Amino acid sequence: MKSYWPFFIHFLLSFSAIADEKILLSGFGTLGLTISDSDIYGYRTDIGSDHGVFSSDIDFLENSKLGLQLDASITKDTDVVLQGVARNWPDATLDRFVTLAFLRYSRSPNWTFRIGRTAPEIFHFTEYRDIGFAYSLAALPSEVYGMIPYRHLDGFDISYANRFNDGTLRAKLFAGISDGDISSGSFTEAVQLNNIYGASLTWDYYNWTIQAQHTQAKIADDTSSNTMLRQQLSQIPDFLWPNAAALSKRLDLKNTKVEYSSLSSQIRLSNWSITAELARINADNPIIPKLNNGYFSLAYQRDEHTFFSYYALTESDNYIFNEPGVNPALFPELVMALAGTMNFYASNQQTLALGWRWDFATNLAAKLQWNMTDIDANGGTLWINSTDLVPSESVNTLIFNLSFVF
Amino acid sequence: MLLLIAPYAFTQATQASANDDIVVVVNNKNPVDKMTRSEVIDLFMGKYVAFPDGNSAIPVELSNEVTTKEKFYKALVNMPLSRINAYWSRLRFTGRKRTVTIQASEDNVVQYINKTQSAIGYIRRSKLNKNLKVVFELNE
Repeated sequence: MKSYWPFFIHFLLSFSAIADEKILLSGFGTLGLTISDSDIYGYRTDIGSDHGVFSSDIDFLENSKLGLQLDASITKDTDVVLQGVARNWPDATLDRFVTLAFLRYSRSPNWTFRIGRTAPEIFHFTEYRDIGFAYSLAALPSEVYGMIPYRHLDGFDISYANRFNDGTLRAKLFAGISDGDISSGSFTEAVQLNNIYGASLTWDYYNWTIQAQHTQAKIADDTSSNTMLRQQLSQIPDFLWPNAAALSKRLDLKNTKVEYSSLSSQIRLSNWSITAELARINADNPIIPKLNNGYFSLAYQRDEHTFFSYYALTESDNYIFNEPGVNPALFPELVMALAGTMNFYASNQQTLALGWRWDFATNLAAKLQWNMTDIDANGGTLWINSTDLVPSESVNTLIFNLSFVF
Repeated sequence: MLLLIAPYAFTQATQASANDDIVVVVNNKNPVDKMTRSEVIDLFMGKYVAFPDGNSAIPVELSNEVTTKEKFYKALVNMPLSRINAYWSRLRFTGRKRTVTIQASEDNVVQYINKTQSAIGYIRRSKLNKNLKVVFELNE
């Protein structure tokens, strides 16, 4: 898909060149300072980042980003949107940089059709998690959003909106492919998702929003590190490791079906607002365990100041080696590699966060957030681990952001 | 003398206040005569950008510098301008909504609606002219 991008962008730019009305250039960004207090677990926003913030670091990379967007109206019903986001991408290519590039057709207020590269609407905030100015928190709960490295969907979507019971109902269906980086720190691999199909249903009623989302996808190929592990497993004779070949086959990530489901709600009562989300990731491969994630956030807004807190949790089952009929002492390195692979996605941690947002101009906000995270032993998937140890640990992270739009 | 001045001053103050009321207006030729608060919220918050009869609407927005904009959103959804901008940055930068038409002054809003039948905007009552029709009053 990557090689087609320059041509597709050129195609969209050709459309924008004949825009009948106007072309609008706008942008957003965040200058983020992050400090953390762990020598073992380095803070990162999601598993796509290969960069961790450890105790001795004063980091400006992990939470900083700059986005530019071009909106071009072609006709009354049709427009083109192009967006690029510069951030600390592990693989800084044009393909990663382009986050939106689509042609939109809105025949009526009810129906909208978009084709091209759009933002995936997997969980409540995934569409706009890089637009810091758009939400109160300085950093979204990584317990829910840290496990999703995918930032674009190459395909199409159809949205339907209408008034319903004095509120607004919005339904969206989308399909396409995507890819993103998954990093363990020392090793980063691009993972492609094929056959992505998703639906999102949102009901807005005055100050209340309820949203249900479901997405399913297939992993296009096995990762190279996993292929190496599986090859080693498949070469072990049956009398030393019964069913090693069958296990190797079961661990193949190619065509693994992954499902993402979320139920969320936001309510604003006078100066108070509450946001809650329950999210689940499920796959038909033992390497990706069931992940149950969620958060509850409470915010109090007074004029230009918002004080917020949240509690977030991610939990999954850890793999403990107990393959029947195998003496682990015979394969110490392989057993360790297998346990590491099987526990790579097994995230277990909880965070209590406190913070303050100050909108000191209409398009500029300062945000401060203190995260207190308790990571379980073997549960630090969302962090960059500087050692081979996987102990439990409590980590404090302080994030200071200046977010803006223009 | 004071007794005579007081009612006059009160009338003047009330009239000035009434003229400063913000009203939501459309072109006189637009078939829509009335809108509810919920419909106005949906339209200006980008949730459902249509008139009650189902026809597409073109919301006309004021630039951030015009104080009427701040008063309008405070009265409509009880949000300061910074939060409105935060809300719209979500819609704009996710590519969910097309960019809205922005005018630098209320006079420009009036001119735009005068020549665009499907446009809708908000202005102070004192800016009304015969080509415009009030479909919602914020003190309703």
